[in-house]
Amino acid sequence: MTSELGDAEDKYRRKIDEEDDLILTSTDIMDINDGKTVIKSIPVKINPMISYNGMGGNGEGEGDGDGGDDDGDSNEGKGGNGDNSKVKVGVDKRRLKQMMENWGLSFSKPGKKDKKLYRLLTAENGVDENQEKTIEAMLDRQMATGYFEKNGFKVDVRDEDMRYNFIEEKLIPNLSATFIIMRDVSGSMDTYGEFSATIAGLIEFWLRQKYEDTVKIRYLAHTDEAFEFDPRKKEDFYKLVANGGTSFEPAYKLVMDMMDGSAYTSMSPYKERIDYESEDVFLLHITDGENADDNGKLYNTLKKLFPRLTKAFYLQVGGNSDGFYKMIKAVDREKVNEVKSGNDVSYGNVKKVLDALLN
Amino acid sequence: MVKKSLEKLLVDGKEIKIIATHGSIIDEKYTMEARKIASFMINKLGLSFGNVEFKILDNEEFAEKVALYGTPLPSWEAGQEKIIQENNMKYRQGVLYEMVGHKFYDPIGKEEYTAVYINQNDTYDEVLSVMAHVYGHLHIEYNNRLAKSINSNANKHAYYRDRYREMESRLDVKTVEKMYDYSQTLSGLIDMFPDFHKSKKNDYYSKEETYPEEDIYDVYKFTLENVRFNPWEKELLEIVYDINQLMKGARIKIMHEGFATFVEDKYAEEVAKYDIGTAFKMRKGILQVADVLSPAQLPYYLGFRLFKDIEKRWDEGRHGLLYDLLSEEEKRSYMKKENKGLSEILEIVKSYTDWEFIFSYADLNFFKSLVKEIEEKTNMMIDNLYGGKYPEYIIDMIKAANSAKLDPNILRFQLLLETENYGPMVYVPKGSFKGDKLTLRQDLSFLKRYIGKLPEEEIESFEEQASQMFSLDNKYTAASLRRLSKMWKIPVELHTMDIEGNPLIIESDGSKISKSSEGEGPKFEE
Repeated sequence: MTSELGDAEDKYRRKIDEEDDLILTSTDIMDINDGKTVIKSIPVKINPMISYNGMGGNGEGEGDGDGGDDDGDSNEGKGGNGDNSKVKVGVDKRRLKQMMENWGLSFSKPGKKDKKLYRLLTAENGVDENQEKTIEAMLDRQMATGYFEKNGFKVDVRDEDMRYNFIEEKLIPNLSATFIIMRDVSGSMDTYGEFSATIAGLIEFWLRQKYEDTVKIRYLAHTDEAFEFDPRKKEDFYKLVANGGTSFEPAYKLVMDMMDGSAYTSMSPYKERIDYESEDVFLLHITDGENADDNGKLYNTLKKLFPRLTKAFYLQVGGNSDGFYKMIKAVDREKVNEVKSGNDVSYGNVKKVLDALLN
Repeated sequence: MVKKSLEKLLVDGKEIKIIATHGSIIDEKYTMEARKIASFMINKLGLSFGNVEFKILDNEEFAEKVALYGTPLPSWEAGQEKIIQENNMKYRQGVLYEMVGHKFYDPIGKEEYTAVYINQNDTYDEVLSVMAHVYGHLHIEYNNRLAKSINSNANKHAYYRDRYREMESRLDVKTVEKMYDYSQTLSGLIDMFPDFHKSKKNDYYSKEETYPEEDIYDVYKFTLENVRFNPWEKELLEIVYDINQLMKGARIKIMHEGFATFVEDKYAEEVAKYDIGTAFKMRKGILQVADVLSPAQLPYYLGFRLFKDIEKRWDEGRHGLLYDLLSEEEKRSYMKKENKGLSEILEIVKSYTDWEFIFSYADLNFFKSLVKEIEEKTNMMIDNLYGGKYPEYIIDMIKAANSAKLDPNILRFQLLLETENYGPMVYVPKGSFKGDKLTLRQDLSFLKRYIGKLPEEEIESFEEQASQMFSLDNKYTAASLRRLSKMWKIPVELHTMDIEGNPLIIESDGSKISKSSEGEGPKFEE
């Protein structure tokens, strides 16, 4: 049968990539995949028509009969935000890019490997026979041809009934990431404890909102020695009391160890290696910037560490010395967002800091 | 071979043919079943229709047919529709069981058929149910006054496709696509209610020269007549105009789906006499479609319920002036076996549209019971969602918050309003066109009909809601005006209102959009 539509589908694909005065939205289709709900977004272009405000731009009036509540907008809302518990997979590169940008993931690593998704399907030819599906197909045929009515149930498998397992492999972009929160809890941070905890807590909250399951958060604290904290007791992490000396080198060395998979001091029972090759790694360091140790050694560690990070955030609270502030900028200007801030837990100041950090 | 022992199917003394095909092969089993069901429909229920060909299709073919139904040209829009439909079917969401296609002419048998597409993935019982459903649709297609006037034809569409492809090969795809997009914007301005506007022709003796001579509601046609297009542009616009006449079918949507479901239900009753298991499955399928309260399912829900109600009332003689004069007490015990339900329904289906149907047959009692049902359904839904998760007093609070106190009277008018308003009504006012500017004005005169009948305390909030809902001040409208202006090559202005209800003029000269608060605003008086 020749297709009456011809190459209309190709025309559509071209149209989506074109810049024109049409309105671009998307329609979402749900699929259960690997136990997770995957939403397939199909980009849709709409020709504008003169339309009512109350009806969300649809040509046809799709009101609801059950009274005053407005249903018009809820359809549109689904497109952009989506439910947080669901993973979104775009079918179109352009759409995917748009989504990544919305998620703030536009700076992900270029060499990051895609994740593989497997799905078991059935096909009419193959090697690995699926008996259940074969019997089903046989029954369907018997029902449809009237064989069943005449003879009742009888096992009679023909060639056309054979069904085989077929494994579909799908590549989806790897959206997972690790976020390391590093807090300076040395004696000099005594007065800034509340502020640093507030900022770290807010950033964690923001991450959970945005990425939910896809981001792993690791908690690090350091004085003149560094240790990882148990994520199940993160409330205690924010309440850590400041004392002891200050040295940055052990902390950054610890991050290196976590990436290399070598032994390090940890208060957490989970010791998972950070797979910096296949996922994004972000680092947030909150300190007053007074490093009491050898700066040269520190610089070398930073030089080794930075190529492995996707982005580093550095927040300096109060403090008098600019040494480290200058040094971290010198390592890699591109990869670091740095802010200096006062010790003021007011809404205005916190917002300013967060804006500057996360821009 | 179809067995000859089956009686001939006669409609008005003429034999009709019914076949079911799978690809190019005739499917005997389904053909037999289809004929059996058709025989019941024609002889027992008194339906009438022409030749039918049931085509059993797989997902991809089905998606293509769905796309071609609404957008018969091989444009990007058709491709988009196909991809959406195909994915919907692949993941079994919003599954279409059947679709009644356009009529087509079979050159070998020299007869006209209606194509009906059935999804190959339907189960055997579903297919039977679907066939019964389809005969209801076909009856309306062959008998309803409005449906008959639409006259869409697959052969015509095939010719349009050929012309479109030729345009693409002679010019280039992008040029044709641009014009196609413009025509789609214009297609929102086709007059769907030509019988609603009272025509006020110019006085014969008047020497005043005005153009247009009366209010023009069909802006698409007005554009075709007054703008000088290239021949191919004009042809494309005419093609799209003709195709979009299909939109008028929206005016009988509730009746269409309601009647088809009603007929399907009747067939399930018949089946129950000899095969209770199948009948039960069919009934379940009907309830799955017609018992769900959502905007998309409203035509099924409302139409089915209303037809059932009418059947009962006319079977028991509970209608007419004399019945209305009785007291409530007498009404309850009233019974007069008339058995006129079915014939009354066939009469309704012949000549009514949704608006007339609801206006004259859905009385206050019907809406009272509907309101009750809606409340029960919402409460049940809340119980399903939150029951067991929260203590009962919280669930009661949710229920109380969700039970919008529906007034049956207002619900009735909301529905009527929806069935005569499928999008903004815009017209070119009489005598407004002088060649240098196209003036459009929004028509809201239908609102007056409802405001007059509302209780006084409701009027103010209704007007406030109306101006929020019916204002045309948005980006879609602005983009459309820009396109209209490019097509006309003169500025275009639209008289509407802002969301506070104040008059507003939106004007475009093809690139810029300007707004001013002068002007008269939309028209309210008839």
